[in-house]
Amino acid sequence: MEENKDKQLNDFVKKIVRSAGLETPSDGFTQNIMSKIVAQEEKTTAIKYKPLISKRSWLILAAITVILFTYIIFGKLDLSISWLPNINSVTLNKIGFMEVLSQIHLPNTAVYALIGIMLFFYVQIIYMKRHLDNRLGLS
Amino acid sequence: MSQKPDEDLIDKVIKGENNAYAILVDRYKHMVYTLALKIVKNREDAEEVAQDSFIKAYNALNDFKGESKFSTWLYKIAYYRSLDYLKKNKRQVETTAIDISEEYNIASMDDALDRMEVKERAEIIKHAIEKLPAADAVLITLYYFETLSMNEISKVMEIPANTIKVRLFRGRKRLAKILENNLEFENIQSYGRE
Repeated sequence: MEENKDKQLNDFVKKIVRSAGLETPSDGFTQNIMSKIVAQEEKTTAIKYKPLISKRSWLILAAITVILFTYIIFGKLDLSISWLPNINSVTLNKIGFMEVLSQIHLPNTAVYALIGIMLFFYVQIIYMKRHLDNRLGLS
Repeated sequence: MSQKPDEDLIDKVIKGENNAYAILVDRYKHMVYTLALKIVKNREDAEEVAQDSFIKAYNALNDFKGESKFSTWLYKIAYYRSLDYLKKNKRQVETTAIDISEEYNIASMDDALDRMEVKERAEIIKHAIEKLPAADAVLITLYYFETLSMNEISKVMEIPANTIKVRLFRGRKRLAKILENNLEFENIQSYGRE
């Protein structure tokens, strides 16, 4: 009797749940999801940090520099350029600016202060870079 | 049926054909949205949760091993997303206290429903399901509408199949009682109108 009643209820609930049907989401539902997926994929591909000068170019540059220097140092190259007037005799000696530089005398405190400021300047570069990277969401 | 099986579509999505996913979304959006709505009980939130579930499923598609049906896997994501949503918003799953020991009359309910218009009937049934505890509403929808087996429901909700059987038994009694109350209320109101 009890079992029969439960079966009856079971059939009844099946009938009403089916006749009620499902809820319908908004019209743009699928469209919304697809555009979110596209946006998400663009984000992951676009913000990949790409160095301006790739590792390969750095290697090539380094190789060129090394080759040039070895050539200059060991290659017994004549560095005098025939059509230029001799720099030593013409300009530097007459202006005498090397002498002017050597005549500047700074008190020791000023030298320490300048060195200190320089150090802070370099430290600041590191912090500024980190700060800007964070703001741009690069790291 | 000319419908492509889910597996083919999933393969396509994994190979990079995004459009195939739109077909899957269209195929399951009603069920996922309905499940979310049963739990969060609010249309805007349910829409958000349902969209989230589809996006999460998309991102996890590579992990879908095909051990269960895609739909069951998807419903599980939606079910847990909805519960997470409630937790995040510090809302409890609402429950209504219904005494299931009370008697109800199926024949007269059936009669009353048959006399209603299709739309009105769907509304009153939906309202009754909404008043069920969220887990029962999900259970009943999956079992009766989606005709999932108890084992499949057990995978979705991570509840042992035996417990599901018991909850289903109580759930449908509760639903009948709520529906009967609602129908009586509706009757009184319609007498008042005449």
